[in-house]
Amino acid sequence: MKNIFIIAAMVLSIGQAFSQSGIEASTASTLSPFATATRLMESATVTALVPFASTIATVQSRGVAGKEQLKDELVGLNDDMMKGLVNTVEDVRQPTLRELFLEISSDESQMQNISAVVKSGTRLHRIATAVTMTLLAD
Amino acid sequence: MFKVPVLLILFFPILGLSATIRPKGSDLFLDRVTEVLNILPSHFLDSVVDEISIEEIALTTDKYFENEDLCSIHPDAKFGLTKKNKILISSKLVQLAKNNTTSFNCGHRSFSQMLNAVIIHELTHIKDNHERISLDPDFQRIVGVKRVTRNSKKKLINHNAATSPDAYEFKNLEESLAVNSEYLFLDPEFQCRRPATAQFLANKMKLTLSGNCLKNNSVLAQSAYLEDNYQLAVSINPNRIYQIHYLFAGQGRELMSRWGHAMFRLVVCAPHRKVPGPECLDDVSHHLALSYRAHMTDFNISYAKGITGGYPSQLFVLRYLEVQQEYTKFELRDLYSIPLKLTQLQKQEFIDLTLERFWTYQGRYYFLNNNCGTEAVKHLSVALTNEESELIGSITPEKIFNDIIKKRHDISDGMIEDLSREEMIKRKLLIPSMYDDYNSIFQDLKKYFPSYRVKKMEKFFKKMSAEKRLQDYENFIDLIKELPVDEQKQLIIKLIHFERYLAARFLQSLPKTIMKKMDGDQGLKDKVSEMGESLKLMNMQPWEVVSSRFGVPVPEEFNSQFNSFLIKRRQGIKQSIDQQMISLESLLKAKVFEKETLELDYLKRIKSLTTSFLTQITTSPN
Repeated sequence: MKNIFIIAAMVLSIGQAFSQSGIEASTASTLSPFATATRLMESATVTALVPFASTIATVQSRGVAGKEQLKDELVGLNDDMMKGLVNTVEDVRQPTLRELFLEISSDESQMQNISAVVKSGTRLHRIATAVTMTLLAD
Repeated sequence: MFKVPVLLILFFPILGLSATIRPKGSDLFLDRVTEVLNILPSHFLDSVVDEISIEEIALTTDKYFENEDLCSIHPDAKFGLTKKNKILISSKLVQLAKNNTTSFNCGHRSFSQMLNAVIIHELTHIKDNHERISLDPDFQRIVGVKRVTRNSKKKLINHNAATSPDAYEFKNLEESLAVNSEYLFLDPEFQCRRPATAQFLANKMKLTLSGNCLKNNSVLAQSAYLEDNYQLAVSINPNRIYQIHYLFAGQGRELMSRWGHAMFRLVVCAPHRKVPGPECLDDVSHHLALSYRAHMTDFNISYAKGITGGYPSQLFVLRYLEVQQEYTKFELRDLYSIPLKLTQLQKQEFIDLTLERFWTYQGRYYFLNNNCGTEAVKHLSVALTNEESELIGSITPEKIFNDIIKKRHDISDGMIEDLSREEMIKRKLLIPSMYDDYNSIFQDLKKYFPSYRVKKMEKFFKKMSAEKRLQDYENFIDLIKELPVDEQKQLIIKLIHFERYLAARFLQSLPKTIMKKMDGDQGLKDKVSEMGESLKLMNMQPWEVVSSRFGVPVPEEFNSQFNSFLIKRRQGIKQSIDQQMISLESLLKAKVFEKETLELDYLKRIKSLTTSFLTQITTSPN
C-alpha cells in the first residue's frame, strides 16, 4: 500500500496544485481513474498490468521527458474527471494525455485488452485508468 | 604495357554535346571516354564552347599507387588533373582499371569504375569553370560552409570523413562539386544517400533522378537522458509531417544563451492519423526538435574552444517534449513555435537536408559566427527561394525570429507580428516559461514556511537549503491537521510538486558544481574522467550507431545495424547508469562535496516526509 503512494507522489502535478475546488470523495472514487488504478493495483498485484503490455509500450515510447509530461498532467485530468468536466477522450484538456488517449483509443486491440481489466466505465475512464496504472508502475 | 596511343577527335555535338573533345591515349582509355560521355546528359557541356583535350599520361605522382589499394590511396596520389580545358588522366590508373579486378569496400569499389569517375570529375571541373555551380549559395549551404563565399577554393566546414565516400571533397567547393558529380552519375544509391545534394545537382544539371534506390527516412532521437539516447527511430517522411516550425527559445541567463536558441520543430503526425492535418499539432509526443549545437564531449565547457571552433557543430534530433521541458521548465525560458510557410516541395527539400545533415554533417561551432542561428538559417535557406532567403539577414536567433514573423516577409504561416503575448499563447505559437506557475506556488508556500520568506523566487533558488525546508515541514506536521481538509490537500500537493522541481533543479546543477570545485584538484579530476568514460555511450555519433557505405544509411544497413544496436544497448545502458551512480557516490564522498552530500540527504528526507503527507490526505475520509 505504501509503495503505491510513494510512486503516486511522483505523478502529482501542477494541475492539481492550481485547483481550488474541493473533491467529493464518493463521486471521486467512482470517476477517478487514479482511484480505480490504485484499487486495481492493490487487489490484483502487478500481474494486473500484463494485459496492458501494448499500453505500457505506447507510454514507454514517449521517453523520460514525455512520461514526465504525462505525470505532470495526470492529476489535472483526474481532477477534471472527478468534477465531471470531461467525459470523452476528445474533451481531455491536457494536451499530452489527450494525444496519448486518442492514440490508444484508435487501436481496437489495445482497447480490448484494457477492457478485459477495467471492466466498467466510459471509454475515457478505462483508458485513463490503464494509463494511470502504467505511470504508477513506471 | 600500353597500346600505341591513338588520336581520336570526338565531335560531341554528334553525341549531343556541344564541346569538341579531343581524347588521346590507349584504346581502353578512349573507350572509357566514350562510355563516360554516354553516361553524362547530352547537354552536360553545353556551356563549354572550346575544345577540350583529355589525355592519358604518366604523372609524376603515379609512383604513389604502388600498393594498388583503392581504400588507402596515398594522400599525394593524383588520378587526374585539369588545367583550363586540358585534362590529364593518370596512365597508371588506366592500367589498374584494366588489370586490377579487385572489388573494394570503399569509394567507387573498383579501379575500373574509378577511371570513369575521374573522367567525370575532371569534366565537371571544366563545366564548373564556365557555370560556377560550386559557388551557388544553396550548393555551399548543402555541402557545409561557414558562410556563403565567392571563393570556390574555400575549404568546407564539414569535415566528417567517416561518412564521406571520398574525403577529398572537403578540400574546397570545386572538389566537393566534382566528387559529388562522380557519385551522382555512377552510383545508383547516391540519390538516397545524399538526397539533398543529389536533388540540387539534378536541378542544376537538368536531370531527372531515377529513383532506383530505397531511401531510408529514419533518424534517431537523441536525448540528454542516457536511457533515451538513440532508442527511438523516427521516420521523417515529408508525407507524415504536417508543418515545420521555427522553434526559438528566448534568452537565458548563461553567457552562451543570451541571444536565445534557434531550432526547428517537425510536426510529425501520430501513427494513427490517416492524413496529415491541423490535428497533428496535438501529437506533441511525436514531434521532433532539430537543434544545431556544439557537440561537447568534455565535462567542462571551454568558452575559448567555443569561440575558436574547437567543438564540432552538429544537427541534433531530439524529442520535442524534451526540448520544451528543458527550456520552459528547467531554464524558465519562453519557447516560440512559428509555422513556416513551405510548399510540399520545399518541405521535401528541408527534410532531405535534415537527413543528410543528421547522418553526415560535422562542421565547426564558432560561438560568434557559426552558431545555432547561422546554421539554422543556412538549413532553412536551402528550402526557401533566393528571394525568401534574403529576407533572413540576421544571425542571432532572436533577430531571425523577427525576420521570420515580419508580415511583409510572408515566411511564416500566419499573421503573427501583431499578436499579443496572450494571443500567441492561445494559438500555441508561444509556450510560456513555467516561471509564473512555479512562482505562484512559491508565493503560496511562503505563507506557511519561514524558509520561503524571501521576496523573489530567484533569490530563494540561490539561497535555498533543504535542511531548513525540512525543519519547516517537520514543524508543520501538527499544524497541518488544523487546516481545513481542502486546504490541506491543496497545500500538500503544491508542496510535493514544488519539491520535485527543486530536487530536479539541484540534480541538474550538481555536475556544474562538481566542475567548479574540481578545478585545481587532480584527484577529483581523475575521478570525473572515470565518469566521463562511463558516459562514452552518451557521446556516440549517429554514424557510429549505424554506419553506412557513405551518407545516409540505406534501409538494409539501417535495419540490421539498428536492431542489433538496440539489443546490445539495453544491457549497456543499465551497466552505464549503475557505473555512473557508483562513480558519483564515490566522488561525493570527498570532503569538498560535504555540502552537496548533505543537501542530497535532506532532499531524500523531504521526499520521504512529503510522501507520508500524501498518504495521509489520500487515505483521509474526505
